Amino acid sequence: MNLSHCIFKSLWRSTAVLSVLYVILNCSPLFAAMTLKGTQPAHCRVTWTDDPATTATVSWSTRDAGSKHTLRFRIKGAAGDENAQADEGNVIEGTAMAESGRYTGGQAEFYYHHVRLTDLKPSTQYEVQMHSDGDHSPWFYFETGPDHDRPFSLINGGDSRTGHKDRLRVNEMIATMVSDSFANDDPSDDILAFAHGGDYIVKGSNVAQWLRWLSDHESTTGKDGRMLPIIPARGNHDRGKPFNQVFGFPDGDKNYYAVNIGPQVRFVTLNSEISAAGDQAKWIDSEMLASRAENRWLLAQYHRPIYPAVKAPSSALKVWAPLFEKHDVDLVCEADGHNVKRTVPIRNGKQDPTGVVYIGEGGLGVPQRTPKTDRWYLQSPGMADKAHHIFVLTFQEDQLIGKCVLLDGTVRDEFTRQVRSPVLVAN
Amino acid sequence: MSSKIQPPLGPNSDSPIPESPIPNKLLTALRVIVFLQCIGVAGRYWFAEFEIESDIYGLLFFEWSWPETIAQRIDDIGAIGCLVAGIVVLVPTLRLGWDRIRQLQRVAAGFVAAWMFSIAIAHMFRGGVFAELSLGEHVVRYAAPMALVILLSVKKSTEPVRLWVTLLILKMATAATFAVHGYKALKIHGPFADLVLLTDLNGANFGIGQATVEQILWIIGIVDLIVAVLILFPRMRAVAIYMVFWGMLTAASRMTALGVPAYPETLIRSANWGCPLILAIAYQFSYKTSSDTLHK
Repeated sequence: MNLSHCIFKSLWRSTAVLSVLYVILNCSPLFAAMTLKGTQPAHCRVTWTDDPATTATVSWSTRDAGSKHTLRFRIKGAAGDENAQADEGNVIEGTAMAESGRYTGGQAEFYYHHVRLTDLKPSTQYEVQMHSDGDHSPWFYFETGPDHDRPFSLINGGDSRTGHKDRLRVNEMIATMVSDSFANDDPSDDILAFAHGGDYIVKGSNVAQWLRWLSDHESTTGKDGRMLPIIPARGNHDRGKPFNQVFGFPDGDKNYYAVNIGPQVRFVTLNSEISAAGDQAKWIDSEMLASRAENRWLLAQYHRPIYPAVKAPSSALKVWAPLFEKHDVDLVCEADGHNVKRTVPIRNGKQDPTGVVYIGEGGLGVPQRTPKTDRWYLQSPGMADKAHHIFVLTFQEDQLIGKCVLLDGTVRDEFTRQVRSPVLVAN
Repeated sequence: MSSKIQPPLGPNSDSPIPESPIPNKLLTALRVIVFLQCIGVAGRYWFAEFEIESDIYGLLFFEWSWPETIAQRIDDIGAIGCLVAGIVVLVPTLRLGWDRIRQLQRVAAGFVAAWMFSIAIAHMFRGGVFAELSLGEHVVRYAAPMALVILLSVKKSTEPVRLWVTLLILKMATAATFAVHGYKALKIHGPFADLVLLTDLNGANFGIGQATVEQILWIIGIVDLIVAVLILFPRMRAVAIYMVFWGMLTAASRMTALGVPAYPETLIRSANWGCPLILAIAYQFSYKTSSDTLHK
C-alpha cells in the first residue's frame, strides 16, 4: 500500500468522523426546546439602539407562533395590582403590539417578538409584562437613560460563546453587581446598561445556540425583576440573520450606531464584521466630529481589536485608529481576543499620553487565552492577563474610572481617564 | 521500456511529439509553490510582527477545551513542521540516494497537505464568517502538496495515470477556490472590500467609495465564478493564465492594503496562483511521460 493511498484513506476517514461530530455539535435544538413551551414568553430582554432616555426595545421569545403578542407597560410604582385601571394622574400605562417573526436557521421553529417603546420618560423605571395569546410573563422592569448630567456606570464585556458554566457565573455576577449598585446612595456606581462587544455564541446561524444564550442571559435579571438594557455589537461568530432578530435590528441593518447615555456620554458601536473603510469610516468621522464637541466622554466599542493582545490587528487599524485619534476618543472597548488587556495611550502608532486607550478583549464566558505580553502597547502602564471578567466604567464629571472585575470579585485592573474636552452642558 | 502516453496534440498535429521537460517543470513549479506556502504558514505563526495561532489551536482550546499549552504545542509542531517540510521539498534531488530523498519529500509534502487540510476543517468547525465554505476555499492549499506527493512517487509504471490525476486534482481545486471567492465577492465580503479600499487609500488614490467597491466586487465575483466553471473544460490555457494573474494580484493585495508586514498572508496564498500556473504549463506544451523524464 503506497503512501498516497494511505494519505487519501486517512483523510477520508478523518473527514467522515469530523463531519459526524460537526452535525452533532451544531444541530442541537433539544436544549432550546426544553426552555420554551407553547406561547409562554421567555428570554425577556431590553435593548438600547436609539435614544436610551426615551426609547427601548423590549423583546421576548416563544416556542409557538401564536396569534397575538403584546406588551403591557407602566411606570413602576403604579398604584394597585395588575388589574387596576390607570386612573392616577401621573401614571403612564399602555399596551403595545409586538412585531413578531420566526428565528431564521435550524430545523426547529421558535419565534421572536419586539416592541419598540418610544416617548418614554427619562430616568424612569418602567414595568413591562409580555403577553402571548393566553400566556404572560412576570412583571419585569428597566430604567430609561438619564436626560440630565449625572454620574453613572456601564458594564462592558464580550465573548460569551462557549463555556456555559462560566457564562452563567458571569451573568449572575452582573445581576448581583447591578442590584448592589442601586442599594446605596452613591449614584455614580448605578449600572445603567450592559455594552456587549459581540460573539454571543459560536455559530451565528444556529438558532439553538442563540436560544441557549438568551436563556443564560436571563440570569442577568435581578431578583426584583430588574432587566439591564443591552447595547449590542456584532462579532465574527454572530453572522447571519439571528443577530438582528435577537436584538430587534431591521433585517439587513449595518449594525453600527451611536447612543447618548445622558447628555455627556456618547457611546458609539461599530461593526468590525463588514467593511471597515468606506461608508462606515465616513460615518465614524462625521459622527465623532459632531459628538466630540458636544460630549464630555466619547467611547467606541466593536468586536475585532485593532491593538490586539493575542491576534493580528484587523484591517480597521489602518482606518479607525487615525479616526479615533483625530477625534480624541476617550476609551475604546474591544473583544475577540479572550483575555484581559488595557493598552497604553496610543497616538500615531506610539505611546502618547494624549492618545487613545483600548481595553478588552472578551471574558464573558469563553475560555481565556494567554496574552502576548511582549507587544509594546501592553507594557506598563498598560497590562494584559487572562481571566473571565467584565469592565465597569464609571462616568463622573471630571474622570472616567474603569475597573476590570474578575469572577471572584477581585479588581484586576483599575484606571482613570481624565476629561479631554471642557464642554459642560447645563442640565 | 519507458511508458508513454499520447498527450493532447500540440499546435501542429502532424509534427512528431517532442521530448518535453514539462514533467520536470511541473515538479519544480509545485516544489516552489509548496515552499512559498510553507514560508507563509511559518511566517504567520512565527515570524510576523503579530504572530497568531491557527484555527487548529482555536478548535482544540476553545471548542474542545484542550489545555492551552497542548493546543499551543500542536500548533507549534504544525508551523515548524511546515517550515521544515517546505525546505525539504525544495531541495533538488540527486541521483545518489534518489529514491530515499523522494520518499522523504513525499512525507514532507504529505505533512503539509494534512496540516493545511486540518486548518481548513478546523476553520469550518469554528463557525466564523463563511466558515462552512472553508474546505472549498482553501482546497488549493492542500491540493498543491497533495499533487506533489502524487508526482514524487517512484513508481515509474504509473506515471501517466499519476500525471492525469495530478492535473485533475489541481483543476478541481482551482475551480473550487475561485468559486468560493467569487461567491464571497458577490456577498460583498467586508475584508474583500477593505482590500480594495485600503489599497486605494495607500497609493492608487482613485477615490474609490463604498458603492464603487461593491460594484467592483460584484463584477469580480461574476468573473471568478465564470472562470471557475471554464477551467473545468479541457485545455483552457487562457483561463488558467488569467487565474494565475488574478491569484497573484489578490495574494499581493494583502500587502498593498495592510503593508509589507502582511507578507505571510501573501505567501500562504501561493497556491491560489500556483495551481492554475501548473495547469497553464501543462496546457502550454504537448508532453509525454517516460521513466527518464520524471527522474532527471
